[in-house]
Amino acid sequence: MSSKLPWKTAWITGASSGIGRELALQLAQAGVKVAVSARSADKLLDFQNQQTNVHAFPLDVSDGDAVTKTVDAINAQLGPIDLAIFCAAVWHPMGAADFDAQTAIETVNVNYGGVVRPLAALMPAMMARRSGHVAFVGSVAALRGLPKSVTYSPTKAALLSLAETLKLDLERAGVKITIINPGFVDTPMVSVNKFPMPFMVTAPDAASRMIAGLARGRFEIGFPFATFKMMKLFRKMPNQLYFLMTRFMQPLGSD
Amino acid sequence: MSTKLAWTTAWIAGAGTDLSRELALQLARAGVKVAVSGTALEDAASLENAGAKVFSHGADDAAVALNAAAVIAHLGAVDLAVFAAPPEHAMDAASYSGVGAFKAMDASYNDVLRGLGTVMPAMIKRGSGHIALVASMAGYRGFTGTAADAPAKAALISLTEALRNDLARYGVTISVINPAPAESKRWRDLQAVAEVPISPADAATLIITQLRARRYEVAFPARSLLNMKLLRLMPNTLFFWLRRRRESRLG
Repeated sequence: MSSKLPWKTAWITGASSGIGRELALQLAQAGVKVAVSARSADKLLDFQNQQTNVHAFPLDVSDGDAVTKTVDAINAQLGPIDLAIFCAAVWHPMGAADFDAQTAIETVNVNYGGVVRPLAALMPAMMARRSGHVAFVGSVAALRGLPKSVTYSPTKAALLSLAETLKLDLERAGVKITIINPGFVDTPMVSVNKFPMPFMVTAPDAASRMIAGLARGRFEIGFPFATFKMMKLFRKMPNQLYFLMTRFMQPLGSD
Repeated sequence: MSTKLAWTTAWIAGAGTDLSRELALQLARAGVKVAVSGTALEDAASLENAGAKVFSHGADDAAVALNAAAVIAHLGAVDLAVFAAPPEHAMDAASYSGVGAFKAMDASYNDVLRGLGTVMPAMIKRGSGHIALVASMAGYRGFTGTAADAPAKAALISLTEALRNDLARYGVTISVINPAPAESKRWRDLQAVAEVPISPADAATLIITQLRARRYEVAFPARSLLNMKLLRLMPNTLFFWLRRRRESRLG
């Protein structure tokens, strides 16, 4: 990462592990002041002690009032947030037979609620000063509902849709928005998976691809190439063909 | 509805709109044992007169759960469960509210999850049944001004995609119903095509016919559908270029 990144202050949610932590690390190393948020204060403080430019702002993204206060605190201590990347997410593999409404609702609360609350807290100031960049970490699972992804795919599809609905409004207000749809990334989140995860990329690799795409101001960032293109194709093909193809994929997803 | 329908019992959940009322009425008239549930149900008398049983309930989770139990006790095995969509709310970047956006998601999507939790396990167990979720074409692509609703609709569509093959293995059918957002004049303006919205009665007849044929996706009217499908097929750059032009003309 060179020092030519267009941001001074970044805010990352879900930054205590996985992609979020790696994004914060790489941005901090490139000289960006990074506010890191997650529920685990201990992990964030360790991170802050290990890495210059990392500033811990512990936060539960499902707490609306706390989100607003955190945004105010970051703006006051580090300066206006130029770049916000929302990474907080949970993944509970689930199919029809083991469907549990409560787990699915909890997933909505983190994966979708964890975006809408920070977004609402950030957007007005960015629009008023006509600058800034917000990014949601979605997933290729947003492009089609996948087997075993009954809780997860819908929340990521909602983020993709949300980004589309806001894109032109924000563009007219001088603010950028990006939806990031990665395939499998080697993080603690996917360690529970009992099925094969083709074309998996490492978290550092995923983070550097994301930062490169964000620096170019892309609306949608998707990788790895094969997974992203396959899922785009799935999205565009007729339903019946998609269901036929995933029926043959299904044994991969069964446990 | 002339000939016999495939369902003995039907539950229309969240029946606050004209479309869901029509669905309940037409199913009841065709001899299906219908239970209708929802908050603030208007004109319960005409539904009851047509033979449907109305279960009105409060908005909190406990009331919804209690009510679902009452519906199931009344119907016995639920053959057809239709989860209807709540009314639409316009929201754009300037009017964006975290609370409002989350509330819309809770009403449109989380309520469906709660409902599925009450009917799906029994259907899987007995190896039959049909679930239909009313989403909307707004879920195919996000238009300006639909920041609260479109994500919830996209989530519903995705949910049916994720469940479809699994349920088929257990003999359970799932369908997604995607009407054009009929209430929203703004949404109609944003469309490149001018189309007379289909009446709730005609829409209900169309839905029942297509569900009977076990169609996965029931979407209408035709021109809006073609338009939205094309927008979904095209790359983002072209999609946003077209939207930008359309929106600048509307001012």
